[in-house]
Amino acid sequence: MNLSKVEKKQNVSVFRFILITCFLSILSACGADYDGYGQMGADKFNGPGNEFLFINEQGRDAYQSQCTACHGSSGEGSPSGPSLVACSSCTDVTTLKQRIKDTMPTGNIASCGEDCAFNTAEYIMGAFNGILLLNSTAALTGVDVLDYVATLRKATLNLVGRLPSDNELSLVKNSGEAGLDAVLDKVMEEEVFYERLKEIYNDTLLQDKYLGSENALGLLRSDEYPARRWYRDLGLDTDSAGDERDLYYRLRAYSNDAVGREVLELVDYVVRNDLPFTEILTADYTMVNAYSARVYGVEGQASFRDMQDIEYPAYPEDPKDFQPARIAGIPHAGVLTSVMFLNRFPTTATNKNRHRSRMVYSLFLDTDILAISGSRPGESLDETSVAPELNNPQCTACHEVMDPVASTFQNWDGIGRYRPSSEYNNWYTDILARGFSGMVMPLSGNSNSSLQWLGEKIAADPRFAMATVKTIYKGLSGQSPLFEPAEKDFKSAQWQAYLAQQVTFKEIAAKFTAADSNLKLVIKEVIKTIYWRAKGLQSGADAGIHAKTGAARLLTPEMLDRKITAVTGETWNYSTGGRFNYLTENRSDSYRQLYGGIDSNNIVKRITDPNGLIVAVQNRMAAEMACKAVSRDFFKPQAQRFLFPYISLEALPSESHAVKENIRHLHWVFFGEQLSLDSVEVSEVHSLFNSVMNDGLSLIDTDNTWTNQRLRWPCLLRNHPETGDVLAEEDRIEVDTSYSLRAWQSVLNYMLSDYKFLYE
Amino acid sequence: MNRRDFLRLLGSTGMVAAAPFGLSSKSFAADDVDHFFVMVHAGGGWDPTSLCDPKGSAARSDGRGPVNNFTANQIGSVANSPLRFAPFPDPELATSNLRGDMALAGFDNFFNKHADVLRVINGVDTNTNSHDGGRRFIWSGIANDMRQPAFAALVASIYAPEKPLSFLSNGGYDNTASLVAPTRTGSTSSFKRLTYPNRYDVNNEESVYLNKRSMAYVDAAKAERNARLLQGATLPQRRQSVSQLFSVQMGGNNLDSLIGYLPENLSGGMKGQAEMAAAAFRSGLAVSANLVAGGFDTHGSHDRNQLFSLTQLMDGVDHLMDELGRQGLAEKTTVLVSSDFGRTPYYNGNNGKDHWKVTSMLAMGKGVVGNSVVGATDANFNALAVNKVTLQPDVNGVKITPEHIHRALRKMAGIETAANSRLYPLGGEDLDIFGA
Repeated sequence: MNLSKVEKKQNVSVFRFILITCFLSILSACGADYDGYGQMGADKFNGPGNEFLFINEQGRDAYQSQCTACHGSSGEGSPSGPSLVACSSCTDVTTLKQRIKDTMPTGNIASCGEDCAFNTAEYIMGAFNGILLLNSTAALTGVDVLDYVATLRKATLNLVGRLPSDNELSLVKNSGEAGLDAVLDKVMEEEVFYERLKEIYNDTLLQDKYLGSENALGLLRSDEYPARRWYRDLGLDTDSAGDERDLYYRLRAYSNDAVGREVLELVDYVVRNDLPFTEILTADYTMVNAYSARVYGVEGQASFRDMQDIEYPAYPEDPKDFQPARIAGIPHAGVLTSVMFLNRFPTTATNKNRHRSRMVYSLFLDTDILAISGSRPGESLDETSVAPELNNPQCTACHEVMDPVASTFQNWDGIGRYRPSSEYNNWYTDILARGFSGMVMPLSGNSNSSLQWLGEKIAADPRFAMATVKTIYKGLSGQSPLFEPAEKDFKSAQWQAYLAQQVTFKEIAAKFTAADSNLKLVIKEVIKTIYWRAKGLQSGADAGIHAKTGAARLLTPEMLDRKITAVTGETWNYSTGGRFNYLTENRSDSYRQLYGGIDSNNIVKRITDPNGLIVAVQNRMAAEMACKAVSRDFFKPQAQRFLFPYISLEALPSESHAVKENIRHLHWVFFGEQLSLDSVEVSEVHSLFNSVMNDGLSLIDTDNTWTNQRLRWPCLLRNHPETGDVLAEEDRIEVDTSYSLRAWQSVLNYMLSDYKFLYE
Repeated sequence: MNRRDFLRLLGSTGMVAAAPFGLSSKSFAADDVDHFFVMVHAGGGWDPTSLCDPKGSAARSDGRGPVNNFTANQIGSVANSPLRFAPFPDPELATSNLRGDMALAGFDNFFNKHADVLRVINGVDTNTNSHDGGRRFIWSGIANDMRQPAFAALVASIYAPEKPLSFLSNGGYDNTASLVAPTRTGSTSSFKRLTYPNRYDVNNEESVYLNKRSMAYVDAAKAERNARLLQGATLPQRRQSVSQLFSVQMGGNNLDSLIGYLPENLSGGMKGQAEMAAAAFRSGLAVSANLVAGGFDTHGSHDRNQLFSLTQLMDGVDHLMDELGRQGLAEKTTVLVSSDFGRTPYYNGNNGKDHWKVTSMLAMGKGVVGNSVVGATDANFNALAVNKVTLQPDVNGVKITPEHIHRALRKMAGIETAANSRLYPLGGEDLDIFGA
């Protein structure tokens, strides 16, 4: 039977209606707690080009003749071509068609034009993605999720390291998802959010390697940037201690760290100004502060705000204020042309930029080139071919993808210097020409600026959106996106879970693209997914499918540092000639790396599972912070306290109801638990409080010494916590004859070392 | 709640089977561990022909130049032993101070000093020239799956996952597949603070933030709270992370025993890693360790840069063996030294050497027959097939791969049938790689 295209679409519409009906039936049985994905699933079957389950016969013919060799007869992929099940471009027929038309089949793109590409795309979507995506969407059921208020608490702690305000809580309580969106929009205007954003992107770009000393400036060549160490020419006396030496080191740090962070500052700038996130690859500028502007010789291109407290009038500019600037003669392409990026991912004469190409695919195109290559077949190291990357079929599958992009880096040498083709026409002949994804780069107008061409192409590629969603997901949740299961059993729980996540991410990627690539939208959408909000498995739900759903992350040292301050109002730091935070300072005697952090240089992978040392750090922190926070919080006026707003200092020990009220309050601020006064948790902590207090009173009864009547010396407060002034005796927090301060200290120790405080 | 109660709780919540640290399958009590493992990784792809599989400067028939810049008669050997080692190609290098921070010395001392416990495995075919793939294959025995645990993680997860520093990792390939947590090292002063978390003066046991009785109440309340959290966690991953944390908390800290075995000041670089590993084994806190040295990816100026890195590496391994001896662990520890892959048997245009799929491994200590060489390569550093029994060249034999090595390693460690090993099966066949 031959059906016209119109007839086919009519049939598809009927089929689609049946599917939607079935699909909504499934959802109606999945519990009312989660309200996010019902609409998402329905959307999938709406709109033109989403004809899942329809088998395009002409597409089948085209696929079998031109695609099967690399992608497998069921789209399962092979060492020569990736799987087409839930692939990056398998968002809809239109997207996939365009990708096929532009890039396939490799080496003979002209052989598959508009109709061929449409038919093939329709076949791939129907045959390999239809049923699977439907089933996988259903796999998102069976999980209870956090309500929007609890979601907000988790989000503000994660994004800006603080608890939500009462106003924010009210807005979300009253307006649900819309309220959450509105609050998150405001949250993402806060300065701390941009530090967090840079933290997330540094985990992949590893630019902080160059912070400190002259680590970044040393990568710039003096013949190209003669003012790279401009502060050396000021004649400042650095031999003797004093203002001049202090200024010298300050200017050096302002300059070096600005250059070292120019890539992350570009991410910051693009997001802060709601620019398309693709601009991180297409920006025709770099980011400078007033000090790195001198390094690059571009001062005068922008003005900078002043610091709040100007210490040196000749240098009033705030080093945290970054502005765009263009370096003369440099064809900027955002991140790609930064000397820092090019040095962090270096190359050699024999590597020929392939490492850089691989990183570009990994960072911005959701593609692991090594996975394309798969296991290298025997005798893969070809000694006999002159250029096996070009001629040996065992090599070309990977190199046809990798090498054209590697060649687009040819305007930049191994140490990041700009080398335009018109002046340095010495690129290798044994590597494929500049291009991307099957396209050969037109030389005219691009030969000296091929990374600009590449940046534009990546920006237009659907995989960029997917890569962005996955980076944000991993950054926020601490969990890697699910791997594609090795076994091709598409009905297995592993595949259902994988596909469900792919579907979810693709939905977000599509919204991101539609919203002019606004990154903030991705953050809001990830926060609303089941993966972020899941809190429990419903009875009878498939535990196999949800094996990785809703994982809690061990907070990174940076996140735990912020959370300690957010909850207690105090910072965990120490003094060695200056104050340093134990968890964030990159020193051998801090805990940053012991607690799983990275140095962006040798240690680039975070530890996510607790070990004995990590637990020891937690115990140390709980002991020190409980000691510090009790006296300092009680010193505050009662209404301004973080921890003890229900306890009157004058009435210590407080009556039982106030103690319970306060314990309930602590459960909210520490754990996000909203409890009743008669809950088990409140009762147990109340019991702890009473046990310690009564035991302490017995101790004082039997041994009424000066020591037993007082807090231990690191825990007492005799000086004003901000001014350092000695306090009058009656204002000091020191005497504890009721032993209740130490009972509260015990309660805080309990809470600071709790799973729900240490994980999020 | 004591350990027994905690295990009972895991059982009641169905967590025994899912316990990430192998609490259920543990067949070795922590105190019973008498076999430790150190994996030393030469990061970037070392050149075995510049160390333990030297070839010399004979011209290649294909005109690609010599394998090495030294002559065959410069190759060193250990008396009455098949062990051979490379010299420095340029006599000046033996006494020069290349980077101003370290004078080079030859390899004679190392090979002669440790010959009795050293087996060289040459001609190991990694079948890759990818750094990531090579690292994964050489240290896990499995090439294709990115989730494979490193052997050091696997053995720690089976021997004593509850030890606070069970698997010490300084980098290299240290994927754990969540079977056990990797631990990083720090300064001696950091360890002291962490050894006594409730003391504000670490040297004074009376200087506590909370007195012992108060801490006992806190600990008891925490244990009860943990039990409630565990019982309330219904999502599999959540239950796993809850039980992971509680397992480590229940395992105790015992860092004070480590402090006693650490040098007052840890050395820098790989020597410091070696000191920490030996002390952690001695104190009963660790089972395995990854040690790492870098600088082997010598695409340019190979002889100079590779030899500098090799010298640092062998200096570090020598220090490790000394430290293990000092701690009385030399006969209880297996040490393996290898790299991502090897380097080409010819020089490129920059006097460098690029990636090559053939490599070697040095095996030392417990479970290893010393004074021996197994596996082989031809004059152009291609892996040769070896007899399955003698492990000497045999055209009807097989090429040694990391799969063979890891099958033998699991067998040597007695973990080949453990539940965690069965989760990550190895291909290939059994060869008596280590000879013991």
